[in-house]
Amino acid sequence: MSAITVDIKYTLISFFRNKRVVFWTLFFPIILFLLFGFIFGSQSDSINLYYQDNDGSQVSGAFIQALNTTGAVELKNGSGMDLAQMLRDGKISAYMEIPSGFEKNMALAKLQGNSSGAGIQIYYDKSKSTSMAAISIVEQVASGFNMKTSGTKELITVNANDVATPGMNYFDFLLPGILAICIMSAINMAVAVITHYRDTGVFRKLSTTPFSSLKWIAARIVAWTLVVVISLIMPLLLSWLAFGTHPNINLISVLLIVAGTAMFAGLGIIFANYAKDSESAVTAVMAITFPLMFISGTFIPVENMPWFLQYIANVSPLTYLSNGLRSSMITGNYGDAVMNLVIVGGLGIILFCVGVTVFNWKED
Amino acid sequence: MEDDVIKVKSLVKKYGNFTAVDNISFNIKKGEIFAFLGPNGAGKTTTVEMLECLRRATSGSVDVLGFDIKKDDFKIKQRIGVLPQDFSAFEWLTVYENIDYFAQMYPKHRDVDIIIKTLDLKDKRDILFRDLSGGLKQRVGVAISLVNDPDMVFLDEPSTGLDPKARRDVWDAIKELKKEGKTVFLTTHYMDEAYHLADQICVLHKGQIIAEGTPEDLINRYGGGNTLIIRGCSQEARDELINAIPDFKNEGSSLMARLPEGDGVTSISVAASIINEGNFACEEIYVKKSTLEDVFLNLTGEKLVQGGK
Ligand SMILES: Nc1ncnc2c1ncn2[C@@H]1O[C@H](COP(=O)(O)OP(=O)(O)O)[C@@H](O)[C@H]1O
Ligand SMILES: [Mg+2]
Repeated sequence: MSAITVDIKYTLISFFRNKRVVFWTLFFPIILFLLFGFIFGSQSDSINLYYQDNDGSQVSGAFIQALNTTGAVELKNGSGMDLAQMLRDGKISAYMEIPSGFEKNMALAKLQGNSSGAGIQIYYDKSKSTSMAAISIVEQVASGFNMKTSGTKELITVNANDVATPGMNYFDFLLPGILAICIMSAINMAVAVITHYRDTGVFRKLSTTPFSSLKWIAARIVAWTLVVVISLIMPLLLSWLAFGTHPNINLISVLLIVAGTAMFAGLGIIFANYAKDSESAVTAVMAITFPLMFISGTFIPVENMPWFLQYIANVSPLTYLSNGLRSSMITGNYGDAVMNLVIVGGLGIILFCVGVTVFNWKED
Repeated sequence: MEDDVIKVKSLVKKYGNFTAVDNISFNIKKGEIFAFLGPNGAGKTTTVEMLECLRRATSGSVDVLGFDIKKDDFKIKQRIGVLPQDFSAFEWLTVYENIDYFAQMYPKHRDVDIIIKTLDLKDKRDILFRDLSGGLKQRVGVAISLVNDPDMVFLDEPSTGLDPKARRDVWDAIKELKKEGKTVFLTTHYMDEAYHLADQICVLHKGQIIAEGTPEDLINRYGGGNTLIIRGCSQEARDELINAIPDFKNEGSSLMARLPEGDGVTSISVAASIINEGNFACEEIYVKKSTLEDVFLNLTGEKLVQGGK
């Protein structure tokens, strides 16, 4: 056996013997998944709803007014904007269109008892957790309107148009975020192991053997990737069995997992190398990864956060990893997935190479 | 000399402006246990790690087993075994697996079970490293330094922080190395360890070698000679004794005198006859040998182990 395979073998044996670490690797993702699933999944915070009133009539105005008075949505007049394109670009989560002839159709329906009524179109992106809420609010307002004007007859019908794959709920949204966080733990593994081996003289010992630091990193990146994959198993299983999500595991998502692990492991190596002692290294990593975990499009869509957090999210590598995984595994937006893979892959190669270059287990 | 396995000449190591190793030279003979004795910060680890090709020397020349550390570090690595200071092996691997891990790092290595037998670790073979006592952990460290069947073994403070029983265990392991024909380079700040194990000692202080020789040599040269002590004597007896031997100093009811080197017997017999003839009652009479601790104190005016235990 080569030294690299020996190192991988014994690293994995050590991992599986340490029951506490195995437990947290398997169950921490699940705890996060359930916790955030139930906290954010049932929450309705301010929802932006763009609209285009192509009818411009008294009735359509009244309907918009009624929506506005609920306070549940933040209405934005989108007349003159290409809302369809904005939705495709992921800039907005949903928009409402009141077609011209709305008032006329409604009057007709009222007179003739024609059940087809006047239609309102909603176009939405199911990958955005807020779009579902927007639809249900519009539906409620519409039925309220129906009640007032005609008792029970459906004068206004709401047609929700899913512009991507159907049936997305918050757990679907959350799953890729959780997976991305699992992958981010490669940074903690790298920092913990490197600082520990430095403190206990393992690196000093290894540097007196023919084993090289380059081979050591090669062995560990394989081991870390395997541990990351193990940590992904439970959230995948849970979302599949309990929440009916069917994550699509394809080449892009696998490449994202590998590139993401390399990216965060590279970051960890760099951190461990420049930190004075193990404690400050671990603290620094915590201080950075902890906030990133929340604001990188993992639990809440980036576009629903305050502008200053959006800036941070835009420079967080975790954002591109979680968005890429979501596009490749859940929404099937492969253009977006490939774009994120390019970013994560590029960062992965750069950070890993920098990490390998600066890493040295010899003393000066 | 032909049988010198290590030749160090004018070795210097500077960290910035600070000189950690200050122009030292020494040779180590094949098959001996050679000890660097010195307090914390003396430069022991720095020196040893330069010899192990782990740190770069600022200047000077070092020859290890016939190879130059600047050019042949790869060849040197194949033939030396190292136990770094404060080394701790992998917690979640057994004794066997830990030794096996390091053995497999070498293209050619010894049979792991033979090493385990040599170091008397057979009944601990399948115990996790984390469950071993401190002394056994260090024994495993010594075992790991033997995996490539090295000609030269470096042990950096192998018994620091261990209790007396565990230290004896480690000493036994080190003696075992010598029996196997290895040359051992040991660093320590325990004078009893150096005294007990070493064939040759270099006393290191602030980066410089301040004395060199066998333990007995050093004690004879720098220990300040032996001390004759007579305890529990009456006033009368003490007056008589001080009269006869002016070197005696009063310490309560005891008397102490430094014995002249090579001629302690005269003083002892004079003292004995005075006690005999005067029929004085004295509790005991004995000669205390000086130790390496005294050597260090005499050479530097400082104690070897700060605070002492
Ligand atoms: N990497 C380093 N950078 C700066 N100073 C160092 C470094 N390593 C050791 N020293 C200093 O060099 C001196 C000798 O250290 P060391 O060789 O570890 O001594 P010992 O092993 O005898 O305790 C000490 O004063 C220590 O602080
Ligand atoms: Mg030291």
